[in-house]
Amino acid sequence: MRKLGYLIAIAGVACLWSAGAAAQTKFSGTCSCKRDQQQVLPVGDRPGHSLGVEQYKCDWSKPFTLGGDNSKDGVATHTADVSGLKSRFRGVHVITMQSGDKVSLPYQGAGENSKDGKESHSKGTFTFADGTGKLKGTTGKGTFSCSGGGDTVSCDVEGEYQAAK
Amino acid sequence: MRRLCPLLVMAGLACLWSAVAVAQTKLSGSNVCSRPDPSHVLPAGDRPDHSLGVQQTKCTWPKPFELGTDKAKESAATETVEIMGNRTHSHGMHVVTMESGDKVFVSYQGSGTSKDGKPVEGKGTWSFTGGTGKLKGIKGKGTYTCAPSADGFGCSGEGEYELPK
Repeated sequence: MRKLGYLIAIAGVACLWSAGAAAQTKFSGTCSCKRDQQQVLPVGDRPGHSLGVEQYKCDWSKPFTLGGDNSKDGVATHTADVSGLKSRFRGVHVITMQSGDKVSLPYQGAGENSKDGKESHSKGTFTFADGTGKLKGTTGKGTFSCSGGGDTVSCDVEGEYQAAK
Repeated sequence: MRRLCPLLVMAGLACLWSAVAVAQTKLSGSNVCSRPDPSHVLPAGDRPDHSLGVQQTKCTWPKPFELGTDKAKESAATETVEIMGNRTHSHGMHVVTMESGDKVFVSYQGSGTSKDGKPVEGKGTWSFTGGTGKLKGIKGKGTYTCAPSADGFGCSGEGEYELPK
C-alpha cells in the first residue's frame, strides 16, 4: 500500500512537470540594432578601461511571436564596463509588439571587439520582466548572440515563455 | 612522538595565521565629493522611474585614510548607476591620488536612496584592485557609508589593507 502511495505521488509530480513543460512555448527571432546614444567615461586606473551607457534602437527583421503577436521594434539601454577589447554589459530591452503591447527583457552579457574595431561579437542571457496589455504577467528567459560592426549590430534571440493565465 | 607532531603543526599554523593577521592594517577616512559632472542618464523605458547612467565625481579627503605613511589627497570616482524610483545601485572605480603622487585604485559597489533627485544615503563595499609606485600590488577591502554634507555628498569608509612585501 505504501509503494502504491509513492507511485501515485511520483505520477502526480510527473503530470505537473509535464503540464509545466507544455506551458513553456519556444520562440526565436532576429533584430537589427543601431546605436542611438553613447556616453563613455575613462576610469583612469589603466588604459582602455571605461564605463559607459548606451542606447540602441532595434527593428525585428525576423520577429518573434508571443501568443500570436509579433515583435515590431524596441529600445535597448545598458551600462557597460569596457576593458580593452572586452566588455561586460547589463540593461533592459523594451520591445513593442505589433499590437502596441510592450514587454521588458532585462539582459546581461559580454562581448569583444576586433583589434581594428570593425567587428564585434557578444552574447548573453535575458529574462522577461514587465509586460503591458496581453503580455502582462508573461514569464520566460532566453539567450542572445550578436555580431556587427561600428554602430550597428544584429542579434539572434531564442528562448521560451509562458503567458499569464 | 606522534602527539608532538600535530602540536608542532598546529603551532606552525598559528604562527602563520598570526603573521597574516599582523600584515593586515586597519584604515579609515572620509571624503567630500562634488555633484557628479559629467553625468549621463538615459531612461530605460520600461518604467517611468527607471534609468541607467554613467557619471564622474571629484572628491577631496578632509579626513584622509593612510597607507603606510602616505595620505589620501584627492580622487575621482567613475561609476555606472541604475536608478529605480528612489533607489539607486552603483558600481564603479575610485582612483585616489595620495600626497606622494602614488595612486590607488578602489573598486566599489553599493546602493542608496534619493529624494527629489538628490542622494539621501548610501552604503556598500570596496576593495583595492591595484596601485602605482609603492602602492603597486596593494590588497584590501572594506565598507563605506555616505550621506549629504554641507559641500555636497560625503562618504566614510573603513577596512584593512596589506602592502606588498
